[in-house]
Amino acid sequence: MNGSEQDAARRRHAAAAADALEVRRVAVQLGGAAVLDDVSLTAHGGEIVALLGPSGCGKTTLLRVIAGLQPHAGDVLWQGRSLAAVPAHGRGFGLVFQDQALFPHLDVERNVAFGLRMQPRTQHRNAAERRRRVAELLELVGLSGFSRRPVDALSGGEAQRVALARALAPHPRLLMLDEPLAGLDRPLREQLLVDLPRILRRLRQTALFVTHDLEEALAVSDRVAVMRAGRIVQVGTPRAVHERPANAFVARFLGRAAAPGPPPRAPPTTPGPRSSGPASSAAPTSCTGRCVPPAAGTRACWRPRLACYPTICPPRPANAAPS
Amino acid sequence: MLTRPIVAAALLVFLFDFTSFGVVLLLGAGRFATLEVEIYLQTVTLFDLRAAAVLSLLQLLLTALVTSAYSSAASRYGATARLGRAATHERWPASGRERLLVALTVGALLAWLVVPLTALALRALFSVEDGRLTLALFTRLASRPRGAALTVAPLLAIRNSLLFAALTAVLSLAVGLPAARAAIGVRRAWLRRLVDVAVMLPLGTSPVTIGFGFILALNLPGWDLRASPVLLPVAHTLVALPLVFRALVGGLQAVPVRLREAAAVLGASPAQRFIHVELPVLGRAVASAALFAAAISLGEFGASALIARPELPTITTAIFRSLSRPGAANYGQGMALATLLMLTTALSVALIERLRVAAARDF
Repeated sequence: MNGSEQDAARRRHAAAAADALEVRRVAVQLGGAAVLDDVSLTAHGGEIVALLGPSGCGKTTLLRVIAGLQPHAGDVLWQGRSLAAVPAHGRGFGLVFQDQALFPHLDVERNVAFGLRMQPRTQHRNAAERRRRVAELLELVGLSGFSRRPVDALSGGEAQRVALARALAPHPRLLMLDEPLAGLDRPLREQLLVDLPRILRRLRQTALFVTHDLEEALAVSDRVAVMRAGRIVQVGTPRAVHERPANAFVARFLGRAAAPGPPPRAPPTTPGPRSSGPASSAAPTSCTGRCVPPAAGTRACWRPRLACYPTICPPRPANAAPS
Repeated sequence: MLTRPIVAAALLVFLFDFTSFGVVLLLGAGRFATLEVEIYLQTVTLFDLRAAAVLSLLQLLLTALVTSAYSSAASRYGATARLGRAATHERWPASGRERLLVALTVGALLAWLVVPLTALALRALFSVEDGRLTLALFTRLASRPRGAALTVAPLLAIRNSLLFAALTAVLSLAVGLPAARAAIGVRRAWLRRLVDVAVMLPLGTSPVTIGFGFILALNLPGWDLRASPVLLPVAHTLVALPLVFRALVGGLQAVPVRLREAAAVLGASPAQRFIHVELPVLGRAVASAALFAAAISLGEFGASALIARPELPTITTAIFRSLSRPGAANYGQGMALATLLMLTTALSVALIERLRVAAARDF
């Protein structure tokens, strides 16, 4: 990462006041069915928000709405200004598709450079500048030396990183990732699960991260929005959502039997308090911020401020069921 | 289930037969004249433009009727099927009966199509007098024999045809690409349909009618376009456009929507998306469409017969002139030209097929 990169990151961070992104009462109807129903969501500058929910709950559609690819009711605002009249190619957002959608006729370098070539306003006007920026990004995603490879010769993980580099290249104001880790094999997934938040935090990148996987949401995001059947049912820090699921659905989805303890007092759209309320009795409390059982060759370590979650915490000997 | 497709196929055959011109003109020899041939004869030999116009109108009306019947019969089936998906249904014939049926069909096709063409090639290659293999007819193409029907050396006809074919390819892409893009990308359904109908219209109109229309319409005072050599490629483009358009629409539809969206999010305007993503990904489909147009131009006769200038003959008009005049030299010339035309057409069709298969494999 060089000076200009850091400058850009700082500028972006400073410009992002309270709410960089605001989704206001968005609804989408497809074929008579409501895919999104009255969805509102915000993201601060530099914040990573995970959209968590089962497949078919409208997560991807919400990303498409924000990217400008999907006609909708309601409004999407960036720093208080409505994007209703701004087409997808004028929004300056980045989107990593689930299937990557790399351009088959271009090699890795030209894929990553695509956004730079399309936007003459950026400082990457000449070819040398572009090549430098592409090299910088390939290094960032750990693919230096892949410039000349054709994209159909890439493995799934490599293609995913190229897609990430391509989306990041034109300095997007907001980066959206649609299930970026789905379909990758386990070691690779865990590697990217470490690399992705590291890269995003280094760039102070405002990001929306779509996943149906709790682990991913917890490892990557500052806040989690849980979706179900086209609605957002709960928003909060990973810890808050985990400790006080808003309803039985969230609890079940988070892998817990039920939602014991008092119902949450906080309205679902405000971030839950860090850890002021009493933790629910069912939440495991003794296990905090430890390493997952390492898959061979990985060094996946969860951020310590996360509490421990059943799905990632190794079973403690005392609790282990005798078999 | 199959009734509609069968009706559609029958109507299509009727349409092609109804507007067939070259074969009837040559084989009918005045005894069996179709509307097409009548229009041609009225125009070229009798100069009765009014009679030709009436016949053209009659023909237009009938073809319009049949075309609309065809499109309503085909709309729910084949016509809208995606290109390049056939592979999923392809398999080898399983039972003995199936094999027999396939063999019979292929055999009949071969007998109908290949035997006359082979006979033609053999006649062109073997000397009539002593039956030996000779290229004499081909080497004679470079010069104009005494008493020949053509006013120029036959080789010039080949050059003209290739030139016209190249121009037709360029023109039909220039018109077909924007039209195909519009037919896919336009939001308003009625506008999309309008483009579709407008581009497909020449398919229902016979080339002879098109040629006749050109002759009538382009007689502008002070600027007689009928003498312009560009007229022929323009007419050929009109004839080729429906097929080029269909090929391009199929190709464009096969470009994954995701790629377009990815380009859009990366900041590419619609024009940039077309130039930087769709066209390159389409490369092969575009190439095969261009070749297609060229092949149609090479073999086109109906419009050429009416429009082509005597001093700028195409291969097909040269063949016709050679065969319609007496004399062994003329006859041999026609044979040799026809064989060459056959070879070029077969070559381009083979190339198109390769490109099409390769394009289908890309996705």
